[in-house]
Amino acid sequence: MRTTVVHERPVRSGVSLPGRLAASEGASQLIAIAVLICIWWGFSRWGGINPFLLPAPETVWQRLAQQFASGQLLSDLLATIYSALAGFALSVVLGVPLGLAIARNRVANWFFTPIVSVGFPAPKLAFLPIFLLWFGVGVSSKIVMVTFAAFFIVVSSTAAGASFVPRPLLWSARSLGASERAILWQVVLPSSLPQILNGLQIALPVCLITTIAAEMYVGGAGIGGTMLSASRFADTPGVFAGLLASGALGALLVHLAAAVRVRILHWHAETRSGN
Amino acid sequence: MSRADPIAGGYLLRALEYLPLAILALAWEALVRSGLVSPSVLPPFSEVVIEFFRLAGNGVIFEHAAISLRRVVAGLGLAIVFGVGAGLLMASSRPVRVVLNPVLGLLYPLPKSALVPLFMLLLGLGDASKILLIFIGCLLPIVTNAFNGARGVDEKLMWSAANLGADRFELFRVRFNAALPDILTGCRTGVAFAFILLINAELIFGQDGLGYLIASTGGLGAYPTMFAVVLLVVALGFVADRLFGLIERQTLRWRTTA
Amino acid sequence: MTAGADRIGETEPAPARAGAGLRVQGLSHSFGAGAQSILALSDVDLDIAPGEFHCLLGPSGCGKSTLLYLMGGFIPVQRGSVETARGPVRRPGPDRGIVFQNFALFPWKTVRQNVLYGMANLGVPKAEREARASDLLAMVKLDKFADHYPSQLSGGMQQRAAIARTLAIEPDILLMDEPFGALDAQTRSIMQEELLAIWQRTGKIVVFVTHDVHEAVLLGDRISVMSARPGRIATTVTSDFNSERDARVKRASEFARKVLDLSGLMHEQTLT
Repeated sequence: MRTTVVHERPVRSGVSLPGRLAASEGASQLIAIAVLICIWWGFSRWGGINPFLLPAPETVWQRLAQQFASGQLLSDLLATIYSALAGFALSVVLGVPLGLAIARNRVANWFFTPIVSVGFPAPKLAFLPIFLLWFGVGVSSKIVMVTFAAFFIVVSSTAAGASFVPRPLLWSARSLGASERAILWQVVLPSSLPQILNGLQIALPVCLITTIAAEMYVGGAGIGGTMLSASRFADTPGVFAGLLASGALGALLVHLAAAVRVRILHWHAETRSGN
Repeated sequence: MSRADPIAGGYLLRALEYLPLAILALAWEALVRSGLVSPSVLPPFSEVVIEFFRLAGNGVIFEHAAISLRRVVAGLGLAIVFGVGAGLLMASSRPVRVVLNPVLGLLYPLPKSALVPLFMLLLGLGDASKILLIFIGCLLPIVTNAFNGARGVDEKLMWSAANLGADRFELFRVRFNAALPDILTGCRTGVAFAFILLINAELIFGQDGLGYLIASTGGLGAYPTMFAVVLLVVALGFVADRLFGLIERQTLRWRTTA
Repeated sequence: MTAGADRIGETEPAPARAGAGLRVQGLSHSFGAGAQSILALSDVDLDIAPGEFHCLLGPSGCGKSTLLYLMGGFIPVQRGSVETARGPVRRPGPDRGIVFQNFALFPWKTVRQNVLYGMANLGVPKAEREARASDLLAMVKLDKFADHYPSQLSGGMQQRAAIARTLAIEPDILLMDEPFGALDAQTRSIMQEELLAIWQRTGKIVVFVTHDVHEAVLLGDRISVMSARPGRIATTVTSDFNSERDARVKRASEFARKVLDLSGLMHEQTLT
């Protein structure tokens, strides 16, 4: 509630604060990375740590360059991204409508709530052998695995957002002549969007983790598969290379997701106040 | 997804809530018995249950469960102790915050499961690697929540306490109590993460534990056994979460439902 | 809608529509079930004439908002009846527009999009929609901020936008639930004057819920003072300070006396 003198000027929305904060945040992250690499380099130079346990940064970098040159890095990244994003998309397509249904329909709520509630804290990778049994040792089982892992997160945050649509918004819409069906898409969905996007932002890294973990179990293509073989051959630089690749990919996805969120929620107070 | 448990009505009402699960189990049984799905791909629910009791009977499942739980408790315990401490420290001390913040920001996007092969390589296939993995993996949500909780404490609360003669130690207690809801939320997330990381590690690189059991039975084609262990794992994760929710509610009894 | 209805924004007041009143009879309402049932309203009768500005005044918990929501059709009637010229009230509808205390603007739509919303639902043709929206926005002095989002506006501006949105569907009746409660005193004062101007221009029935005696005396033609537990209309008083600008100042002592009387009444109701 603004308690200032009546003002006819809207709140300033010029240079968006989130943009400015993000710049300084990004800078400090880069500095942190640089510092960490220096420390790492220092340690390996010092020679006090077994190079098997902690390979020198140069070695890891060489390995990455090798992988890049041979095209393996790219194909690994593509394979992992593909499975992760495909699973993510599927979980959204299946999860958001179900979440909306749970929030607005009593029968759906009764039936699905215990199922989601039990599945949510369960370690989903335990189901991977089952999916392999059902879908074979290919990309499909990985995608199903990822979808399964992200599904519960998407459903529960969608349901949470959609069950708390402010009454005045719903009643205003009704009094302005909207049908119940229209209200679902025109009021419930936009109003729940911040909460839904929260869930999606959590689900995205989960999709990446699950993809990599599944690849480790199955072996073969993808970052996880390469890391698995590296560890089998006691190739520590290879494992570290995979770690760096996953970290970079994870960071990229997280930043992309945050940027997309700001774009979608451009109307929201949080976006303007730089929270 | 948090749900307030029904206050009145006792166990019967509670059981009825989970009726949909029973319906699901019945559907499962029907699906296989009717021949729609082949039992080699989906063993009937009844067979899975029988298999579970067989494993319980000869102690195999308890053996592996104990191994797994031991790891979870150790890793999670360490994460809670160090994580909450670090979070609270970060909230009250600027230099600590400046140092740790970017480190946490870096760890955040790293898929913790990616650390599995590294830890296996460095620490072997035994307990140590898994405990370390769980520790590191759970650290982040616990620290973040503890930090946010301590940060978010109303300054006026602290001023009142100081005004009423609280010394440094007391002030810390006040801040801790005020941050408790967030701390517990972080720990609850940690519980879920712990189970996930444990199973991941045991599945991929296990020699023992429940994850290993799933992988090996799967590899041997003993599917009813595999399904039985999977269900147990799901049940364990669920029970752990609910248990923690209970602890949360008991500890935070003073909080009227927000 | 009357044929050849005046476009909103023109200075001549629209004629009061015949028979377009609001009648409440024997209305009772309780919440909760069995032992925990609370009687929110008990046997309320109210007859509001066309073009009347009617205030529902009372302390918190006296059921005035419940009564408003029943009139709006947002809560189903349990006992008694609510009727307008169009028949019994059963569900929300565009003939009874509502304005809430927290504005309830759709935060993901711009001000203009909010104002256009109802008209789109009612099938008003596009050109007319845009024209009506522009007129309304000009009337509430938000034309320069039409393409801003609600989060960018102050409370007073948001409330004006909400009022414009409700007026856009040309309701017969304007239901207002403590609409200025969230505004600071100065803005509230300005909004009260503006609301009176709009009311005089459009000639609609306004049912206005408030706990502020000053506000009720200033705005209302008639004021129903309500009491709590159970909610009843204790008495209905007339007031005539709303037709003339600065009536409060010119007839200050009359105004003050009326406010004192009503405050006393309300105080009594709170104590019983």
